[in-house]
Amino acid sequence: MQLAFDEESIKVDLETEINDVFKYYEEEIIKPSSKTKKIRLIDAISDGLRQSMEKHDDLVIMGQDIAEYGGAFKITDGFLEQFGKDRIRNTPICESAIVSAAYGLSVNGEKSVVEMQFADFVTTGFNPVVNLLAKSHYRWNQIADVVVRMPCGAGVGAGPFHSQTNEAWFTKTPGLKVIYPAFPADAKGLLASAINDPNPVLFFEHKALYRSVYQEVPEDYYTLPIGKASILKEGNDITIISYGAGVHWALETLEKNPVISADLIDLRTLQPLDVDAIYTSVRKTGKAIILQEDSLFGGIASDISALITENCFESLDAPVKRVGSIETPIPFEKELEKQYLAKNRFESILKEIIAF
Amino acid sequence: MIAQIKYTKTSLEVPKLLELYKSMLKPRLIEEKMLILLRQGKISKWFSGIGQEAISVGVTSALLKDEYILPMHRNLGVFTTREIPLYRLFSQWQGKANGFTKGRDRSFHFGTQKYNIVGMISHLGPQLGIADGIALAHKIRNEQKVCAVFTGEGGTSEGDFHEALNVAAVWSLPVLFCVENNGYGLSTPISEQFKCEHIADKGIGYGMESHIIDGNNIVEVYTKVSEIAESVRQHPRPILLEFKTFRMRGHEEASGTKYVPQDLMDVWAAKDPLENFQAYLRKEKILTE
Repeated sequence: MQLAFDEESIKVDLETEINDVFKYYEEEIIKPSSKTKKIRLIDAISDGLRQSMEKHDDLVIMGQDIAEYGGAFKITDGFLEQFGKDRIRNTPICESAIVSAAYGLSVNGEKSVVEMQFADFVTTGFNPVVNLLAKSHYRWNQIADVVVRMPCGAGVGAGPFHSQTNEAWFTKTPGLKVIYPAFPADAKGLLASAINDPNPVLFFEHKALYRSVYQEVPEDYYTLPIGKASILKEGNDITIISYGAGVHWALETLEKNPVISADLIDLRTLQPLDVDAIYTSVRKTGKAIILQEDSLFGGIASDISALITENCFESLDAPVKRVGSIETPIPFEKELEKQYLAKNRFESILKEIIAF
Repeated sequence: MIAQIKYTKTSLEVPKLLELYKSMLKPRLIEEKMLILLRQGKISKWFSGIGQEAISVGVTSALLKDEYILPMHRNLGVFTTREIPLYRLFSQWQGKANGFTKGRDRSFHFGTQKYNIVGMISHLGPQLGIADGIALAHKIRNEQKVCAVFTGEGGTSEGDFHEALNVAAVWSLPVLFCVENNGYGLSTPISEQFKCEHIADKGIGYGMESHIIDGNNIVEVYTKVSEIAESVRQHPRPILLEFKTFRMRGHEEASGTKYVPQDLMDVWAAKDPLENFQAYLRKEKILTE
């Protein structure tokens, strides 16, 4: 007792606190091979997942309908036959207990992937994500080696409960990594990295892109660095920053307007954010516009805008613009959904800022 | 004090009985010291487990040292029975470096792999699901181990309790769900927490085996839990255990016990797990002055 009273107080050190939020981990970068195949986003994710299951022979996947049924989006089709019932686990509808159980697996030395049937349903397992997974390493040095896969996104006429893109709840919570690829090759490599990483990761997979985006994807196992954006286009007039479906909306707009000279940054990871890529680009172009599918207020575009204003102020020639969806729940009917989504407003705002 | 608890003769040898007694004495003595320090302002909070020692000590003694236990804020007996160095516990309480969380979390909100203890977070539900995951890993690896997780009768109201039991049942996970029914969830008596008579009856709803155990009888706790744990190691499945007991002090010292009827307090004071066992050991001439 006396020992404890006599003990010095904790030394308050900022760096120590920040560093302990995540377990320090040297990313294992495995370069992609040159042999590629033209596949869709959904195939790339399934491929990546399968190869991770082969690489980590104790990896467990849990989710609703993922075993015999192969998952709502068929990503785990065939996995049960290949990996067996112990590792491919169909769960009852108990999101909170399953996320907690994933943490329990981690405590007892096992990696796991939890598939949310839709990102929208993470809310019924929200508590263990933000209070258990996010805080574990900081509190007692225990890793939460869990990836939560989140089929998300609108533009599919699925209504308020099957269309959300809720990354902002998680980018806001210290202790979670958030990955949001827009392309198949990125998705495969980033998923592998997310699974390798001993920290908790939310991996967003856009439903509308699942079967519509094709790419030449390396066939073998490979990883991509978490926290690094990808520069898809280079130009001088403006920096366009986006992620997920927004990247494709931006690409479409640029194709339609070949006279626009823009840097297009695909963030790929939202937490940690590649601020270097953002600042380097904005300091070059002097203008920035951030496009997100999420409703505008409180979304990640707002933080990126603030970061740019705080760090690139001298370089700016125009206000930083955010383009997001409108402040309503996501409607079901096709035309209502079109009005809701940020996509329809992007082109005009982009041109406005270029002309500023 | 008239001895209220009847201890049946078991196969337990004298050394074991003395060990159990000493194991209950340790947390009781620490707690009595903690109450003094609290009054002196040397610690800021204390959640007393006085009166419930038999459960923490009995369950921990029944489990193997490398089996995970998931205690709550009132289970000091789990930590002491696992022989965590006391100075580290005191450091933890004071937010000092020799604690388990570098000052980042308080009281019993921590875990330690070295002692196979995973402590709680303030939200009562998640640890039940964590136990499922720990047990699942054992099951997949074909290890004959059980995992014991604690909650109070108040905690059984959380949706997570339902989910964790459901998952454990469907997957036949080797988890001992140890519900300490101590009469109160902070100020809320059980009559305002749930309508059923015994929490153990919920086992039927989950297709799960359940037992009611006298939480103040160390011999009953230890022998029953040992038996059940061994059975679960051989045949993995979840078990719902309801320990009937009583919380002799407030939820925490600051909240007090004004809302508890004095006669209820008196009835349970007579069933004190330590004093009763001490009286029994003296009568059997196992314990001398």
